Amino acid sequence: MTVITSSPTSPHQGQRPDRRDSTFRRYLLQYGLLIALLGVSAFFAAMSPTFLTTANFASILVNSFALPAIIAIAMTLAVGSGGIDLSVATAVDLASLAFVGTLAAGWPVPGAILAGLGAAALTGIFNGLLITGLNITPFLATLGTLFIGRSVQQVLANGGNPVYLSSSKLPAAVKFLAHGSFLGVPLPLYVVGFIALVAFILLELTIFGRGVRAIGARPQVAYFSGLRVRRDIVWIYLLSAAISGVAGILLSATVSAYIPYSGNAFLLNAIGAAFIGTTFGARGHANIIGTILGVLLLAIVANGLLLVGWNFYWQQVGTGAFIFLILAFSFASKRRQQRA
Amino acid sequence: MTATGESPTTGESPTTGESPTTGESPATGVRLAAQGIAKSFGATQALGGVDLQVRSGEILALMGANGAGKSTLVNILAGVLAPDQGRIIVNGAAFQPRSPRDAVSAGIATVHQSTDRIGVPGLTTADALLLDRFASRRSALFLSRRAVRRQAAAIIARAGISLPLARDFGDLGPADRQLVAIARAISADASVLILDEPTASLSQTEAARLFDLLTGLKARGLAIIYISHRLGDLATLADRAVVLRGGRVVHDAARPIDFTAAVTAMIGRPLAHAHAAARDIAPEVVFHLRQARLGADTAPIDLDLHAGEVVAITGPLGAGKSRLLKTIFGLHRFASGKMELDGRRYMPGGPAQAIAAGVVLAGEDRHRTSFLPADWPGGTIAGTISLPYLQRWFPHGWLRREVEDRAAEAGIRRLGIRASGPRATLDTLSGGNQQKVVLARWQAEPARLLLLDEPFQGVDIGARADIIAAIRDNRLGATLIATSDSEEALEIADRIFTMEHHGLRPWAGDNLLPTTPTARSEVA
Repeated sequence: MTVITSSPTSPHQGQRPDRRDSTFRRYLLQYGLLIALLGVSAFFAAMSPTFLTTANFASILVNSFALPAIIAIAMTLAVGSGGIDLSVATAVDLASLAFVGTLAAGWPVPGAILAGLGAAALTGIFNGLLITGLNITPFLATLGTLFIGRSVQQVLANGGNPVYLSSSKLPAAVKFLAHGSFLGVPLPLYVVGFIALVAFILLELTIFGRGVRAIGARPQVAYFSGLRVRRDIVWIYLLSAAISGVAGILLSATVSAYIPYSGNAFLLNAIGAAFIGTTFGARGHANIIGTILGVLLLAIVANGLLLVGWNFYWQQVGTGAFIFLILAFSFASKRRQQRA
Repeated sequence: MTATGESPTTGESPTTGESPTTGESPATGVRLAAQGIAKSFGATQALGGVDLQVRSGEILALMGANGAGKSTLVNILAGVLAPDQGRIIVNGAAFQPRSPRDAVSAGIATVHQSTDRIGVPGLTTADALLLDRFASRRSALFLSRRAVRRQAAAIIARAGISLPLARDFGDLGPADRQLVAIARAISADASVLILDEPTASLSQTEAARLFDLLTGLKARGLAIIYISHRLGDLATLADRAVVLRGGRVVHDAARPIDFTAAVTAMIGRPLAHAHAAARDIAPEVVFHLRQARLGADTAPIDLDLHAGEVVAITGPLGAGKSRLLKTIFGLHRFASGKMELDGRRYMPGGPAQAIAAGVVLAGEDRHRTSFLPADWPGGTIAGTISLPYLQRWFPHGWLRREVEDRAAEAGIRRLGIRASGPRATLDTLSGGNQQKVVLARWQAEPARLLLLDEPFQGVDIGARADIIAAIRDNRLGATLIATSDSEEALEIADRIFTMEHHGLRPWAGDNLLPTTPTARSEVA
């Protein structure tokens, strides 16, 4: 017993968790993404007078938020189920090609939209069958689809040439879809809002969402609990592709054309946003609100860097650095929280 | 149980005073001394000032019921958690680990109850044994397969066990994983070894192997802290027993240990002697297995299960107990033979169909078969219970929290689950309460056949009685239990079978069963 008292010990002073401190840290951890978003906005607002203008924000929302957000929501579904969907790009392109191709062939707008969604859905079903039928991991299955999608576009579009819609052939409805507004809010933002709401409800409030989350966390537990794992996986990739298809249709309506491989531009952004989004909330899984904030953050960083005059070619360095910062902060706090 | 018949190696009682000088001999002295260890999680005090000493060549039994603070104490000693107060001395030096790695370098080797994180599927057993060395900065960048095999062989030779070194770690059973964990832990020159429920998933033969290993380590001067709910193990091994209750030490006794007193201190009341009482079983056959073969060339199995009957299957690990249960649950197919449920042909294509038919399985490792991560949607008591019934309870697809919560509250009441409420996450529950949640899940809807694989894994005596009562209370359906512990079988079952080499035969007593009163009290 004397050993204890005579030994030069000191209590764990540095590690004693202060209650207030840990509560604060928990909030910081949970809402870090929101704080980062506000911090970044404040920084750019201070650096550039144009940043905090309505015009700039409208431009951010319409040009660099709407389409990436839709595709990132699609990605969130796949990530939430424990997978990933690299072929969102393919779904965007094929939807765009089918939409523009059928319009050019004189189809009515609703028919062209259905054709676009159908083309996208095909890639989703293809992914779902590869993953569940052949037991290929989602990463490789959707990567394969991404490659195949390239070839399909080359075959169908004369070696991968753009298809333009002449303005005489462009129906008014399509113009309205891309450039119209309702109550002062551009139409694409309604589409984003609608899809985000549906995806949020699906993931958070339905048994389908609960099952998908179970599959994402522990597929074996889901299977042992009697969930129809394969069926749900097929649905997830079908939904992911169909939602990406909406983005493809909006994209072609905006540029009045099908531009080959344009979906690829959104892929990394969507992955980034979905994974940044996992840091939002206490739980660390893919969620719609986090994804939306992630897309906003990436859009604002890109826009702000441009406004403060950062060389355009270096922009992606800024984006990458932000992703590192957020993830590093989030994981470090989580580790510390687990120890405290 | 194999009695080692060995007297304590320490000559003097561990509680007598130490020489007042600090420079004590490390060969016989106190290896680890903790004083006034306190730790709270939010408003809950897990430990309220615990003093603990363990000496060289001593096996200390650390006992305590659900939530007594054993896991918290182990996690503090292992460097996983930092204590709020108190100090720890290891080998005469202050011990303030900032990570589990610090604890290992200070000489404290810990083998946690869950052996999942010991290795990774895709690595061989030899790789798993050497993982710590791979992770070390001094490790060579490239190691030939031969070198890995040689070093791994040296590690298990030192531990005195045999393991299939070339086998994929993912294919190892829980017993072998446990041995890997121990061999690896002591390979790093440990002076204190902490074992949390090491025999939870071991058969008697394997447990005997483990005890031989521990006796050898003790003779080499290791200080061992041994946590177990199996009194038989403790009676065989322990030199001293320390009992925790409510985060405090309430009992400290050296050999000869009066385990009845220890258990009374542990649960706060004397334990009534309970044994599965003989009772009348309805003649109604619920489940019928005819000439079923698990493999093409194994013996055929015939089995009739009656309504309200509890049947246990014992036998060593790998005998095919789990396989039989899983096959009935639709995870595998019988090579031949047929199954009938309530007189109708039953051939499930998978768990979903089995559950729909009323055949449910609580798998061996609850974390891998029943639970979602605690920080995940569905990682609560309510979410765990509702997961198999989502379609049935919410036919329109909308989750309704109040329905889930009601089912969870009913289960919490019926089984006496100690939790803050239906939305309590699983990581806030002790092992016994977790197992009650699993049982509550499969009793939330009346099942025709309840299959339980090792239902007492990591469950303490207090919770065990509740679980047994709940299982035997089920008078409508039949219950089939697989357990490697024949005492558990005796305690719970109306009928017992033994499984060997994928064949089934009626149980005819077992020479491994303890007959001494001390060991017998485990059955209580």
